Amino acid sequence: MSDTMKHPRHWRSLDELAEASLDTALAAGPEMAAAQSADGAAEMTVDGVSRRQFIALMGASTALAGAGLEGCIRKPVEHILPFANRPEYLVPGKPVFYASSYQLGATVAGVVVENQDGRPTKIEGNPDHPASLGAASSFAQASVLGFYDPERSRTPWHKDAAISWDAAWAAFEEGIAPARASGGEGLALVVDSVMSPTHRAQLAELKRTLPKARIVLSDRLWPAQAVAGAALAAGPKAVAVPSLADAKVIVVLDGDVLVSEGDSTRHARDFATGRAVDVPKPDMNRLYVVGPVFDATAAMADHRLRVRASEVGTVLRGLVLALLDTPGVGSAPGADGLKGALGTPALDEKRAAFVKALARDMVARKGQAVVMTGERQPAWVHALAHVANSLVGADGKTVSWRRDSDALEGQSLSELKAGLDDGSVKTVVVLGANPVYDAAGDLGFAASLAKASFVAHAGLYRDETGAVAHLHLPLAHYLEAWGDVRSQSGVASLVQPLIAPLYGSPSSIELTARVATGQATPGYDIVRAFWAKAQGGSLDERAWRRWLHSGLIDVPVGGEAVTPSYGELAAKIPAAAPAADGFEAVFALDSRILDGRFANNGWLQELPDTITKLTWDNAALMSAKTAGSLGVTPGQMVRVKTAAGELELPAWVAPGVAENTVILPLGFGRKNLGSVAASAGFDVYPLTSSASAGFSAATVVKGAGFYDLAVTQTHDRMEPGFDYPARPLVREATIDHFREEPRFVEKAEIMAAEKIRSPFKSPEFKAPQQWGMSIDLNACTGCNACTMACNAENNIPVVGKAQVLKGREMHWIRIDRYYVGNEPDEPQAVVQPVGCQQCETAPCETVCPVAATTHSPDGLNDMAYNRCVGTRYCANNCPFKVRRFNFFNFNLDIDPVAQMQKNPDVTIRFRGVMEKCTYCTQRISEAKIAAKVAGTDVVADGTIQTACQQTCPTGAIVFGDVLDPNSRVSRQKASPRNYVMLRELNLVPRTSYLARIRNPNPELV
Amino acid sequence: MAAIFPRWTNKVPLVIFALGPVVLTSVVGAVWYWFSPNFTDVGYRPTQPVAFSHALHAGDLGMDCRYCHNTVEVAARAAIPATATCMNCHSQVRTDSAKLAKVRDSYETGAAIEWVRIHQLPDYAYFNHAPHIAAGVGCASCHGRIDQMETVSLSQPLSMSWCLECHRDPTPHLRPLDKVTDMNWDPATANYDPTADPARTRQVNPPEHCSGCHR
Repeated sequence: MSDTMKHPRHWRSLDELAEASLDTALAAGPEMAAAQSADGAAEMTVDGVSRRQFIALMGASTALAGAGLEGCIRKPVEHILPFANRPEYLVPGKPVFYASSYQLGATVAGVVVENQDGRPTKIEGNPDHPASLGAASSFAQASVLGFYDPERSRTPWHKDAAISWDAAWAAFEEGIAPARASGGEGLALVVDSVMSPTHRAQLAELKRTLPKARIVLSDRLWPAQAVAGAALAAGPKAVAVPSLADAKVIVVLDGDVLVSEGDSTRHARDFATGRAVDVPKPDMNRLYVVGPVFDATAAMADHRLRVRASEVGTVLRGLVLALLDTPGVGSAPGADGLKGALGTPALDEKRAAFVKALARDMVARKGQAVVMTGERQPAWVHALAHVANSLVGADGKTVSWRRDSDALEGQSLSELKAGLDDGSVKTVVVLGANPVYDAAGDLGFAASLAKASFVAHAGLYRDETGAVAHLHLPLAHYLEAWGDVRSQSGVASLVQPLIAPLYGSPSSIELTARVATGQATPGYDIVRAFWAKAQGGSLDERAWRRWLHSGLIDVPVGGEAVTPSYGELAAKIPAAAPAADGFEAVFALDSRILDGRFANNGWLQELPDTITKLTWDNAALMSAKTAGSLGVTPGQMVRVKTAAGELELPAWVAPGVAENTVILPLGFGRKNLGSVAASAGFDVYPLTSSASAGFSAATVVKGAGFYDLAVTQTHDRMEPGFDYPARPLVREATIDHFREEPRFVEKAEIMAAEKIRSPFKSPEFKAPQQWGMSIDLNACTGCNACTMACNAENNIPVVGKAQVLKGREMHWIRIDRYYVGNEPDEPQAVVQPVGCQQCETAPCETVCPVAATTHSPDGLNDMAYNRCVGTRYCANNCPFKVRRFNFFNFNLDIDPVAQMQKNPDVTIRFRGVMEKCTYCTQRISEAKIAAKVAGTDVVADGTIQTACQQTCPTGAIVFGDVLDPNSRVSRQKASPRNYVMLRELNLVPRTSYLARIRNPNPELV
Repeated sequence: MAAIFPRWTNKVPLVIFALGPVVLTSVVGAVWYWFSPNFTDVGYRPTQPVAFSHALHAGDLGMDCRYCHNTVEVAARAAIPATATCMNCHSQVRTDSAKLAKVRDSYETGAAIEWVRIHQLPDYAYFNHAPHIAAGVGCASCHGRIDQMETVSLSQPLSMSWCLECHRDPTPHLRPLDKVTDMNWDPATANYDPTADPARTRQVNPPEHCSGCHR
């Protein structure tokens, strides 16, 4: 093995790859402007107040403060308002946790919601729910901020005027009464993904009572292609549920299945478990990813085939043909007739070798292989992937089939549009969907909707559809409504409210009941009535209470067994292989705001994308070669034109994207939604077509001008730059290299351990327990859930794009992404979460002039916010660049509703104060206090979970007592893969990392 | 030409030299005393909406602190009792007292009684009652002789140096675990040695580092 293969190059940006010096690196792109403004020239104004005005104002306010000196000496009088009748078991100031469920498209996750004195403040995963297993995605974590979004719709609107609820209900009734009277004539009910058994039953009942009404499904997160593909393979309402738990060969076709698509939380956990290499007999899974987008899943791949979106099907044809030719392959019912339909796919030498090796690998792992397909690919690709699964014996093992018997068979938006155009639909009620914004661009849906005589819209925001509707009603958030959900795998769980509706809004099921009957029915009654009926007439109160407690409804999963059969598939496979030239536009769900439903969520907008590290915007992502051929540099505007429309947006060079492809993340460019979403990104929905939702042919030309993109990929670099040798921050090896040299991490060190000496005495830590953390880079997918959990737990502010451009984002734990390899367009990647490393000999502490940061006896690098005077020396001296400074009062003047999200156990930091990760010191204190009250000095292992650890879908983060050799963290740190960053500086960090291991197929190396 | 400075100014340096240190010391001393919580806070006795007498309830009637402040052993806050707790007795006792009108109103309407907070720490200090009770720090150590107060007033400065004084040397402030709420227990006469108390499963070890109290 060559030396470069053993020690591949790691780089954060293309300029780093080009080994440009720091200065020229910054000069290359729009980041230059960002870096320059960080020098201070742009800082002279603060929210429109110039420095001179500021001094004048300060003088005046000081004079006023002097006049009112009384206010300085006497603390303000504070009142205590106890309950008149305190609920039993409620202890003021102690959080209570309730099980509930969160739904996103067809994905259902069990959650546990922390309730602080009646306010939901944080979402955790429900450990008992099979789809979450204790973890929560960044979307579930961020949903609590969405709940308190001050710009959520608060009152009903009738034709541009806010009205009362009574008036709204009268208008609603007036609008739909004629349709109800005529059996649903002209009525269309537009719903988003309906996973609630209660809601499904309601809609089925509605179909019976109002037979002429249409039910339309409009949700970009609804896996329409996967559902259609499963139907092609196994009949209507069939659902294929893949599981990676026992999968050893995993093939992903164009989908971000580990982060933003489908059951990603469960898949990520299973995937990481299957990659454990420190177990007695490691049997590491192998991930192959085929597709145009370099997303978090592609970054985890052992082998990636970079192909354009339209060629994914071609590769799959080749794979199925190769499987059929591989000795030892299994059989799939009806698959024999497929060979003709598959034709001769045009695969070049590299791709042919790839599918051949892949087919052999899959057959060798019969029953342990699985092919997963992303939602961007058409239904026939999904169906053909099921053929491949059947051929390698996946059915019943890595893919389970069931019939989702009560699945909603809604019409599509195209059918609704046709109805609106021919006048057969007059009344439209939209529940939670937003078709005016996210309908395909070529549909012209907004114009058709205008023909309806009455449009009512219910949504969390008065969004694009709400603005054109005759009547807009605020919809209840899941944290304030009763409901239930059933996952695609059949697990049912309850949704329970944590607080009374903030604005008195009804939920979807309450509104559906109103459409059917015209009467208001409490959601609680509707849900209970449904389950009573499902239980055969009456609901056992004890069972109901148990369901509420665990969140899970323990009824049998049900659903008849299904076996796929491919006899009729051949006719559905398109004959011609698509042309291989010309540009393609790929419409990808954004890794932060998905289809745009989180566009007004500041936490998610400011979250750097999993791979590009882009915040606050979307951009046309393209490979370096494509950008070169177009003659564009990062940040330069490009004009993208498809059959549906055209748009100008900035380009960004994203290594790993397929050639002649632009990736266009959805969900941005919202108008009039809210202040957060207002200036973020560009709306690419007008470019989408209804025929092919995932990608379409496009032309791309250079546009005029530049656009500032706030990309954090070069922020917080830990490399010294100049001519210093590269530091081995992330370490990786192939599994063979690891076997032959288990302590390969040691080889990468730039200074031998015995050479590291200190002239000073090592500090002593006297507490009986010493905290430490271990992060497994082999498991981490870079999904950002930890960053989001930290935001929620530690009251971290959102700073805005202008501040991010200056490198002032506040995330306490960031995820560094390093591209690997020498080819800018064929990279691999490693991600590394970096929070405060809690150095034992912390360089930040020695430079603090006021001792605001000091060490605790249990090894934490404490930060006393109230002592900090803001010199920023500590941040300067931190080699890991994990300290964050409050340049402004980000937490002052926030809306009282938004204040309700804040965690009362963590100080809200003021302007001029440094802050950083403290291993969730509030959780440590809480556990230590509980131990002391219980009469012991020692906290049991596993009692304390840091917020990032708790929510990590892959379990990559482990925290605990490093003195106890049996604690989980000590055992993980005992791995030969264990290393600390920058060991040569003798900082003795408490956070250490486990090196990444790759498992390449020997045939493909 | 007349001198610019009259003759008496010759004495100014002398006066400054002689009085300067005195003034300086006085200013420092004045700030030390009058700006400290010992002066500004101790003795704070606001008028409460209901003239509840701890002297009567905790003193004469001998009710245990925890009858009303019932979360003190398990939570950070020793919760102010709900109105319903008052009504446990006052639905039978003194049912027509004018002093209790607000209590009865609160019980009927569900509206809270707005008590004025006396023991008030800054928001960045995370005091927790539970471990202090578990360690055997008496209520009276921080709150004074509540049982003798007609209207409660602040008896200790609750400043950081005052907290640390005890955290650095807790032994003189500890008492047997069953005497925590006992207002009459006198450390001077009791001669208590916590290290020899078999009821204690652990010796107290209060934090002195920042994150012990600040989060």
